Amino acid sequence: MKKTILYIVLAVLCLIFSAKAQTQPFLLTGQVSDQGGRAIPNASLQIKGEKTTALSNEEGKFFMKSTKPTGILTVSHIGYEAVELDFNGNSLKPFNIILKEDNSQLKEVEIVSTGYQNIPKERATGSFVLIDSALLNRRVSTNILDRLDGVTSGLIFNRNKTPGANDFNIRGRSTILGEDKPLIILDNFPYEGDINAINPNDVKSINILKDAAAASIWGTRAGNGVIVISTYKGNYNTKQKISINTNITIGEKPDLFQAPWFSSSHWIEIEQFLYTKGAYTTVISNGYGAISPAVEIMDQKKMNKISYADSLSRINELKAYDVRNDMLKYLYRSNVNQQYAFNLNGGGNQNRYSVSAGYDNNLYSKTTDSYNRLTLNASNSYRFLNDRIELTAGLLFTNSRSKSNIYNYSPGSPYERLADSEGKPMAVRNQLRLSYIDTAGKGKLLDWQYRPIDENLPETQSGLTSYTINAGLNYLIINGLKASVLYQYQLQTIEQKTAHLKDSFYARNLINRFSSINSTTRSVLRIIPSGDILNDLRTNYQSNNARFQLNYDTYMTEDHQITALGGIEVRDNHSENIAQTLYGYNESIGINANSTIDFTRDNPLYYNPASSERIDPGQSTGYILDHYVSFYFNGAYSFKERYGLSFSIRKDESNLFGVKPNQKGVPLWSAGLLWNISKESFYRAKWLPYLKLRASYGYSGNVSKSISAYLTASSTGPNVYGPVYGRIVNPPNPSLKWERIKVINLGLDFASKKNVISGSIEPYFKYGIDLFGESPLAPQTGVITYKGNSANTVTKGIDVTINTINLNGAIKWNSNILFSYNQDKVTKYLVAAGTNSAVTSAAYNNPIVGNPYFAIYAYKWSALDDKGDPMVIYNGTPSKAYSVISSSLDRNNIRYLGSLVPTKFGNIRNMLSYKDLELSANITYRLGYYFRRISLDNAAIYGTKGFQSEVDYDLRWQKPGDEKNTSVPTLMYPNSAQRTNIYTYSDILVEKADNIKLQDIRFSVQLKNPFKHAISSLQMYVYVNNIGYLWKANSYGLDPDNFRQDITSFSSQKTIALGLKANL
Amino acid sequence: MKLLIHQYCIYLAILVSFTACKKDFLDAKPSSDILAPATLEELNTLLENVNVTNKTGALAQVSCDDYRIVSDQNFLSLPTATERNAYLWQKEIYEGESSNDWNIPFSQIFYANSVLQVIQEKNLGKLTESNITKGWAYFVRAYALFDLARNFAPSYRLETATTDLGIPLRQSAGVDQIIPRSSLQETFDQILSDLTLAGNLLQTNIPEENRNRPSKVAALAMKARVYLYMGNYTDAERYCDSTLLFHNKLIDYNAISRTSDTPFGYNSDEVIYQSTQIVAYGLSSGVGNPMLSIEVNPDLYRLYASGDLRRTIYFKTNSLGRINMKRGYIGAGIYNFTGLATDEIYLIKAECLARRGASEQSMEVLNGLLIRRFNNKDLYVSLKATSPSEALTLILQERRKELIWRALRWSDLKRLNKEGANITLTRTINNITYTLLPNDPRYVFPIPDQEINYSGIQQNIR
Repeated sequence: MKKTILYIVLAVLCLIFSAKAQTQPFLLTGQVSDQGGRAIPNASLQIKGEKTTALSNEEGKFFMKSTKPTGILTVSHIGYEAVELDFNGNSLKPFNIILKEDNSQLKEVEIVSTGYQNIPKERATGSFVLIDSALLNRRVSTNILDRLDGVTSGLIFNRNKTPGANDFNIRGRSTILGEDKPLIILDNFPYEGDINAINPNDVKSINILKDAAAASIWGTRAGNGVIVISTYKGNYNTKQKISINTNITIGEKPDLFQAPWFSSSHWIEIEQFLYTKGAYTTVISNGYGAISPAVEIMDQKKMNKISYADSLSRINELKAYDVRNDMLKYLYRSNVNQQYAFNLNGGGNQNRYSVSAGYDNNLYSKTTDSYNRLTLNASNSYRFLNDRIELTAGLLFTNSRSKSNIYNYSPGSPYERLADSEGKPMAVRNQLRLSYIDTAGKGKLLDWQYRPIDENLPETQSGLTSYTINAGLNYLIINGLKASVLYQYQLQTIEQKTAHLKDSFYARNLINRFSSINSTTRSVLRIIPSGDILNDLRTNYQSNNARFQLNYDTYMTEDHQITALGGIEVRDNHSENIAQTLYGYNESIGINANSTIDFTRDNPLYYNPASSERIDPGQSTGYILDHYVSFYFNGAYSFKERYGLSFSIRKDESNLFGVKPNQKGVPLWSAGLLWNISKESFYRAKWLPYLKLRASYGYSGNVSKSISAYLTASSTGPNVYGPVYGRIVNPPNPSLKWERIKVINLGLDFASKKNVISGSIEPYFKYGIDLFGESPLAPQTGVITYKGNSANTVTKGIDVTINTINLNGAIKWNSNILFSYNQDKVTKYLVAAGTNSAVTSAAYNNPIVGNPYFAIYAYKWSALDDKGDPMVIYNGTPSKAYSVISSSLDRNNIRYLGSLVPTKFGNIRNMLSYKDLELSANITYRLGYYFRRISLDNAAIYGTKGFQSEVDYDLRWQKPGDEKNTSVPTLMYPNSAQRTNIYTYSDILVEKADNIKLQDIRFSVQLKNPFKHAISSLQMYVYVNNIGYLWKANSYGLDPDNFRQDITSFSSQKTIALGLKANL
Repeated sequence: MKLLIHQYCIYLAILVSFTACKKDFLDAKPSSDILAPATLEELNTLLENVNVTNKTGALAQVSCDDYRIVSDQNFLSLPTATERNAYLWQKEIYEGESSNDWNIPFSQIFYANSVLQVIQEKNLGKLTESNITKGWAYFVRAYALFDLARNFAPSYRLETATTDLGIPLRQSAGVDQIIPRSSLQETFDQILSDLTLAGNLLQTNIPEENRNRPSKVAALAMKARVYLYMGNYTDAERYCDSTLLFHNKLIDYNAISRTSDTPFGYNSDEVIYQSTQIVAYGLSSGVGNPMLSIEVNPDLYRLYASGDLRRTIYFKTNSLGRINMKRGYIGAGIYNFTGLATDEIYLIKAECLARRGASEQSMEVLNGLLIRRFNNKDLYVSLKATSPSEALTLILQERRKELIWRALRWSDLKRLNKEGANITLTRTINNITYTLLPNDPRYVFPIPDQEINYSGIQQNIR
């Protein structure tokens, strides 16, 4: 089948051009450019009185034939004034046509790219979003994807779900267990390396492909949408341009005091209570387990080792400290990011080139953490044989280095001290009791104290080197038909080294743990020899991509235009990793002591010889290999530029595991229609000169590498008897299929006279079919959860984009308004989601038929009873039968409150300019979602880090009658998990997360020709990001996108960037 | 035009050559982490997964009278509701917590069924080496099923076994089927027939360095254990004899370190089949580490005579002056031995002899074991019994002492009370005394909530 399609395509194409090849025309060639020397693609060229028309290509170049030696050539393009030129076939030289901008007309034609072809947006039937370089550069960031946030219609960052990460969805989530990330294309081919290896300053534009007509050409991997990143290339016959951009971004120090902590004195009271209750008895009696300084004092007092007065004064001393002051002083700083970018591009008649270099240096707020990156990007194209052949070569090189500290200090008590009054580092408790450490080994062991300030070192250093090499050959077989061969090679190596030097706590602790002291000779026996401990992890990612493609583009007659492309693509992705740990390492002479260690021996622990552990050999290797062979075809037909039809099909075959051969390949297709109403002769609405309708229908797919049709197992390593043992990963599933996403997209594009109002409205429907679902099974099956094609979903949504020109005089004022609505619903899920306890507590995986995938459920709160115990409505009446309520399967006893991710979102961006001054501000809004407020957590308070759980402590029920004024339950010792969970997951703690945020402001001054023409233009800019909320629906002042309230996850910090951009 | 034909030919050539090598390209294994077991060697790796296959439940240990919890505070600080409730023999014990007591044996059955299924699908049964793999799978299935039966089904009574509820009998690896509970008789028929199949397929001898693997000896010894539990003392004795014919080694405890925290290895001579308690409820049922919240039942500890080496090899005094268990035949770890060992077989043999009136022979067998448990510096004084009932009392007491902390006490209590032993257990927590009367329905653990919720099989009445 796959071959047949291709043969037909080839045959048809060959016939078409062979028919044309028989005429002997006069050839007109040339280039269309604007007044600034920039090429104008897609300008339409026509010879007066003849049917022949042509379009200029990406470089503005055109070729066309005339049957007569002389005539008049008309050249036109939307946004430019049309020109007419005489030509004489006997002395034909290439034309150099310069078009003047026509401000009265519609704005410049936007070209969208699918990664396979570039098409004018006005001819596209699918749903595209184009983010051009101006919009990309409005924001200052190290990471390219950050720049899509808040400016891209239909794309949302799930900040409430994973703060600070590149977790975003295009038009919602279309899978349950499959891959949910959009496919990223970098210069023609999928990019699966580290996204940070791409320097945003190298990016010319980003296209987001949202529906099937746009994306299904990417087949099984397009189900989540596609992001096409194009880097800068030079243009032919353009003057050399040099631009320089530099900026510095400064962020606030993190606010540790935002977290709801118990004051030191308050926490000591609670510790006293727990001590009296015997919560620490077991730890204290073993003699070595870590206890807090206050508990140590309480115990010494109880054992009469210190007097009551002594204990009191020592406790009082502790009450005065707050470790967060020390943390801010010694472990944190303001973060500072510096960025430098340089670009040079231009082109002559035969070649075009672009060279850029960038350097970033980021100092993060943790003093140990930093990042720097060097990028080089070069591309060069040559053309010859009358410009029929073009050779392109490109190189993208990135080298980055990041430093961090894996074993971060995490306070054990609020009153811990990191340094004494002279600033000398102090020891805090780690895994062992401080008083035990003081005497352990009687000086024979290595120092066992943990001093966070001394350990605050960038122990982990990670270096990334990435090469992307592109080579391409385009051959214009005949006017309109182009063959191209593209090849891309990517190599990315990451080496992460964690060096625990021999004096580090990590090394000292590990060596001591496995030491023993001979009871007669008093000599120390060490299983791990003294020396550094080095963990080394190398990841090597390589990909080879090759593509052979034929493009066909012509007007068959004046009214009919056909474009078609078809090709074969082969992809080979290979990543491997190797990890090793070297004990007793001496860097200067490069030796280690691993050969002296028996990794299969159970070694007794120094502080508890009855228990023993093995030494982690820290070695692993593995690989992942993806092979794809794909066939694709895309064709479009347009009639009189009024009606358009597009069709696209792709078949992917891969080596993904365990899918039966006949299911390995999945053909996915799409079709689209467009109707340019404003070009109809009956169309009279002068006030709305541009009106277009689009519709598309089709399928894209999604893969999951974690699922197989066969019984699969993974080898885990040797068991204690020696042989390797395996673990069953997947029970057999003979009917496994790949997921499919059906997308229906409608679009209405419009523009009023002079573009005062323009935009688009796009409703869409997405149907997830045969989605992988995980379901709990009866434990008697031997499998607790199971994955299969068990789910369907439906997503309905609309994306609205409106651009307005509000003022267009000396002061210019433009607005951009985006609105997206997206509501998904699980329509089929084979197995019940579990008990109500599982449903309410599931954070982000909650597929229940009839509701969104990311949904929030809660028990129906009733009240506190007269003992301060929480009650919820169960079978219609208030109940305290916690275990019955938790294990109930009757969903009538819980409530569905809504989506956990925004269902309505967008932004309003205003741009004001006056002469050389420009000011823009972006307001983003995220509506229609909920979050679970954290309240008094009985389990956490009596857990190891209870001092971080002060929320609502003062509001808790304390005496009969309190239940009239509060809904916070009384604290119970010991904690009853079910009772705590009933309160934690009840609906009184669910809050609306809706918010409006002033995301950023940018101000710039443009200076033309400063310094007497040494610089052609100079822009100075200030960019302030994460300015703050303008409105939040919740009345607790909580940040709805970061409500976790602990000192490890901060709200997005406000940053201010200052920058300079110069063109030479 | 000529040029065109040329080009067309080139494209065609590319396509053809491309199709030829495509198959290999698309058959490449996608990851080093994953394999589809298809050979006997690969199937054996699944059975080598001792974290699944060589485990037995922990509830029986938590609920039994081998130990007591030291204080109310220690009781309250036990981390799971299940172990707190099981300790006090509450009617409901899980409070929504999942239980590996049920899940792990069913995983074992799933592993065994998966192995048997692949052997059938891939036609591996023709290979002679497949006998061992198949026998291994049958043994694992029987071993798991017996563990489930003794914990989640009532005591075996011939009169009621066909109507009493047993365990769901799963014969295939397909996860789309729900099997209702069988009768207790069907459950035991299945256990015994799987053990017979295993015994016929497995190699005779114990793999000395890999005692996680079963053997014919293990299948025979397991039958002795199963028949004893069923109260069929004739067959129990018969299988003890068969077992001891192939393997009768006993360890002389005089050769064992009395100071080591790890006195025995996991391949100790007495071990016929290795298994340990599941990783659960460590604070109440763990061994080896100083266990400060529990102590060995003082009434039981008192029964060990002064020359008894088990006083120092089995036990250790912790920092609070209380008696804790050291490790049994497990090497390292804190979850004790629950597998089959020669000492148990000798004790079953002795018990069966006493029950059929051969008191003299029974004491001979018992003394043969005990002489290896007593310090040889002193002269071992043989135990004597004047009547079969006295012999039985002595043997049962020695059984309790020798097999402490092997998850056998609970099933012994079920069996002995069924026969009228009239043993009542009591515990006191927070000044409330809890009592478990003989033959109380609470001797049968409830089936975990997840199973009841998802399969709807019948719950035990407690």
